[in-house]
Amino acid sequence: MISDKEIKKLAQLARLQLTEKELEKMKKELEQILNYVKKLKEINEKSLPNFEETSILKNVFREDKPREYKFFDTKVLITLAPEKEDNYFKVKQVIQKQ
Amino acid sequence: MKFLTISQIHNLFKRREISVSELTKYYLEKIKKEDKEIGAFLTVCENLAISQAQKLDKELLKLQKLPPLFGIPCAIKDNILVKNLKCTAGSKILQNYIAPYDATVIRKLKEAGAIILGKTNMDEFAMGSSNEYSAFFTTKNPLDKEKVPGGSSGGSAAAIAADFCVFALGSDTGGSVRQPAAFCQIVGFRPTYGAISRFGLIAFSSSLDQIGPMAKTIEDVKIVFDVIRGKDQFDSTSLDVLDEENLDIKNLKIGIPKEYFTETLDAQIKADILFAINKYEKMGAKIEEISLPHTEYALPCYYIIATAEASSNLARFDGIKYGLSKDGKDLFEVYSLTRDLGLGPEVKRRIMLGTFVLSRGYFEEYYVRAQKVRTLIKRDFMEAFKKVDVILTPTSPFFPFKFGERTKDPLAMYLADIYTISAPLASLPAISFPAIKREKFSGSVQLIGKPMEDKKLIKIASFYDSQ
Repeated sequence: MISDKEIKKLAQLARLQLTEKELEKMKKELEQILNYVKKLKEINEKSLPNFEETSILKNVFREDKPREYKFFDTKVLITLAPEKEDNYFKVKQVIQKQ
Repeated sequence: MKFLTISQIHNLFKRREISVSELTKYYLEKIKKEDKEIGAFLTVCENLAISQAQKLDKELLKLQKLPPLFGIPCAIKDNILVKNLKCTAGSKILQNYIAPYDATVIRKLKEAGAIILGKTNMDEFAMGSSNEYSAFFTTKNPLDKEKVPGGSSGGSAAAIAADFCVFALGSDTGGSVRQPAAFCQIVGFRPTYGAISRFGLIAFSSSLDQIGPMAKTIEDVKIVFDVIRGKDQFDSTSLDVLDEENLDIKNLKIGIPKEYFTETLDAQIKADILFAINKYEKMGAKIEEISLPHTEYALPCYYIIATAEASSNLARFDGIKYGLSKDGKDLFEVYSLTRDLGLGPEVKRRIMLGTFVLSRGYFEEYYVRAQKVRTLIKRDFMEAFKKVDVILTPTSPFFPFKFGERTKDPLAMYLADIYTISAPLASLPAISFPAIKREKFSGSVQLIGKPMEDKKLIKIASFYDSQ
């Protein structure tokens, strides 16, 4: 059901480093679970609501402004980063030079 | 001093029979001596607890009326942030993460005078039903140490059952408060979606996650719920539930869904649930058989939605902002090596499944269809609630199982949640409590209420308790 190429692509999308052996095991387990959740296909298409009807929740809006939270100091957050510089998180270069 | 409740402790305080410090030390001693065998706690914060207790002892002399949780020792599931304490969510990826702030529920507990003894073990990122998926160790069921305590809030349930604390907080995505409560023979409550703020709860599946109180009695669950619930400006999904209604049990209609009583239900549990139904009937409630026709689709529906949301939520664990970080040759390698090292097999499995159901070519077939089925499940309940006030079911289809019995087959573990999964999908409140007080295990009753009627639901449960 899931091809070797697909499972590799999924691991890449999920940012998971998996060995060939792990990929093989994962493929089998996913197939087993998918085979189970396939049960939803038993339900007649006509009895399903439109996707738009599936959410009864309303968006809660607020001004897009930073808020003060008196219970913690946002400066502490940056101290948790493995790599930082001044007041910034430090990451590896994203765009490679030609 | 065994299995004290909040009101019993407050009476002891008022009569000056014990100080807050003495009581706190009593529980800390007990944990020190007995938790080696149980493994309920990942972190015990002795110094913090004692210094807070000493502070409260000074206040005790001045107070006329005690705040609702004054001096009450409690335990917190390790996916809820307590400032300056480690918060691991049961995962290696957060093994050394120190929470920089208090979750809203923790701030409210502290303001009400509760004393935090420590953080409890759990399945990694709340994914599991036995605590066997904790990255650190497995918690044992205090009632039978060869059995699992349930999960994912298994540490919290075990801490209460072992009498290491008076109450605890857990979180419930598909049953993670109610199922371990049933396995450890205590009370667990999952409120209406939004009733308790999730600010400071490490997210698993955002349309389903809820924090819930766990305790020895329904009365204590109610006291804790009243302290921690309510709208919070830092959780836009939070809301205020309805005020309690006056309730006469003679006017109460209880629905029994026939789909919950299939051959997969353990015979003893079935007998215990029938006993509970009978007890309500004797008290004057009307019992009515109802149908929730889409029940069999709840579990597959849940595993699509919850894993899809988990794959998005857990993307934040990337080795950049906090937690474990493993260096690599480029950014992609930093992400993938960190996650390989930090995440366990069940978490990886769910991230992969979630990524699959959201990926191009499968999104309509799986995710969209699951959302539609979720609506059908909700409609089933809304139809049923036209006829009845509350729905009564078993909490778990089976009694606690032995270690290793369900870890080989992911689906076998998922089946533990078969009766608890529908309420979260329909955003409904649900409470679990033992049907009978027995030496070891009895079946637990689950009552599912109408949305926002949490207080009424707790009241209906308390009728049972008081009889």
